[in-house]
Amino acid sequence: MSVPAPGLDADLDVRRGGFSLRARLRAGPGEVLAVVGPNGAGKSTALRALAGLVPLRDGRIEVGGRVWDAPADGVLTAPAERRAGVVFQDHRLFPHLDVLDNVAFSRRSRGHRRSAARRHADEVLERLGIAALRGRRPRELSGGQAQRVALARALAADPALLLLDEPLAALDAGSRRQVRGELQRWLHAFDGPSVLVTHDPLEAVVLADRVVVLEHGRVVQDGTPEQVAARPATEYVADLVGVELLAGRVAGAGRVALDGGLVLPCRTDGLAAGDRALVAVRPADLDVHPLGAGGDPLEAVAASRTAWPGTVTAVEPRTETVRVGVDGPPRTAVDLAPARAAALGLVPGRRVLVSADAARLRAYAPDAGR
Amino acid sequence: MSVRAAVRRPAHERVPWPLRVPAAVATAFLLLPLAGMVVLAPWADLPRLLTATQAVQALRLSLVTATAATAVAVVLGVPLAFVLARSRSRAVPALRALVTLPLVLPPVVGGVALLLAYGRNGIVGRWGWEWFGVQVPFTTAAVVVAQTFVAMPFLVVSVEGALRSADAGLEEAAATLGASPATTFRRVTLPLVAPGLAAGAVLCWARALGEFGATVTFAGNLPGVTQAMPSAVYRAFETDPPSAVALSLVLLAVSVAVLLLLRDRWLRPGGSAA
Repeated sequence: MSVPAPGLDADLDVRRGGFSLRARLRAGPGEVLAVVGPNGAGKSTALRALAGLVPLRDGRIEVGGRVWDAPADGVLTAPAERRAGVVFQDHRLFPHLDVLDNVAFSRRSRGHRRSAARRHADEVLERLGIAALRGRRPRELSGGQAQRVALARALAADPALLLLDEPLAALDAGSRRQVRGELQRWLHAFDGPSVLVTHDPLEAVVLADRVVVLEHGRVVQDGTPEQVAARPATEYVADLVGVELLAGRVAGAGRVALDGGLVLPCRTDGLAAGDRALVAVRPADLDVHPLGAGGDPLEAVAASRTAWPGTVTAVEPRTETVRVGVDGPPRTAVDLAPARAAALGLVPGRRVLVSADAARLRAYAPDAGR
Repeated sequence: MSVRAAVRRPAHERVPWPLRVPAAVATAFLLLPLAGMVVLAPWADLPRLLTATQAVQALRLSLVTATAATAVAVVLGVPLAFVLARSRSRAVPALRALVTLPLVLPPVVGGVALLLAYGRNGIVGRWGWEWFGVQVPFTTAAVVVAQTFVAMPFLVVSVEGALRSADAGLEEAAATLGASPATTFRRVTLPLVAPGLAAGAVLCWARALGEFGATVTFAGNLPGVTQAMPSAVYRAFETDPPSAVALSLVLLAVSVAVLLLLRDRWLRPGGSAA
């Protein structure tokens, strides 16, 4: 056996009905791990397994060197003995207790005297800057306030592991920004490992040190937010970080044959001919050019750019750009400045040329980020 | 004002005439007997009638037995409701049907059944008689047993409903905060179902207070020992009708008080339990 990891080391294997979750989640002390994925990917199941609300079928959960769940060794620690502080998406504050007694609940449950538990709860409320709420009932709190109280209640339990389930999803846009900022501070101050479940990439980038992407109960990507954004492994991740994913096979040095048929010049460092490859393309890095009757571009495309023909499928104004869908192959989206989009007179059905800066296109292996 | 307001209502909100007449008849049918009792009650003699020995005995016995029956129902019924609400056993629907049977069973049949269970020759009662010389029927304890038998289902149904609508997520939250199952039940579950428990206890107490059929069959009708209010009313009607009316008025007043207590829960459609 190796030296026990001081943080979180979980090898999850959970079955529920027809659904199976298999994921390795690790986070060091003070580290924030974001678990990202579409609905039904198993994010909440992972969180419930860590909290002890769902038992593992196989695998192991270890936190701070203590084993919480290990079916092979017959170990299963009850939720009450785990010291996993959970901030639930719907807060789950006790409606019959005021804010102070909600925060004092864990110490009371562990046998502390009422006065001592309340004194500690007051300290936690003070520390989080919400002492003014101490006498309120949960139904008298706004979404943002309830969120802060739920975090205070979880922190007051002196957790060895902090679990947050979509902590900002229930908030309106205004309070979300503020609570996100506060959350960043408190997560930073917490010295144990934290796991944050979210479907919001911004939340993951702002709050997390590392990101695990779950799809259909499996980890499809694992890395820093920057790594994940630079090399998305699946359509879902690409969509999440706002890029287009082109898939193909390396045809030779500097060339990738896309699955649709086009051979795309791009950097292929580290890949060999015949390898499966992905190319992530940012819509803002692409350009559109008018095409003449003979199929020639009406304006010159710089020699440094690679270009391919396509048909406009959609023209959709966004806040600062116009998004143009072009069916190639490959199918891509292009973000243009409104003035350029207007000058080109783009309408669905128009044949155009799409171009990209070949030097900025970089192919990578599909499992590079796993 | 109210007449004009009614006239100004859209046609589809008005109650059609063919329904109004039977509705009025139904109302009269339900209210007239009560009105008759209030009108013909011996108001002047009331203090004397209600302080007569038999009446006082019956009143006291009723208060004591109904309260004892409610206490037994809470102690045994709340855990039963918890099992019905939370157990995943497939036997639960059958168990629930059996437990709620006394709600629809004729009380006199309940009395017969109690005799066959706890009577001197009953399947359980014979051991008590043969081994210890103890018998339950025709004692004050028998009154409590009969009342508990018919009234406990009211409490169980009420508490089970409250437990089912209570948010199980709060119990999960309590567990993650270090609360044992027993602590969670005491500090979270019980406070959440408190309104349902209170309503169930009041209903149970009112039902126990009015219990007649099972009590008379199983416990008899001995003044001072097993003669609770309804039995006293029944007996007095043969010998001293004004006294029967006076005791009935007391029971009517209690019923009205119970309705007032539970008005938020039962009288307002969609009213909140809290």
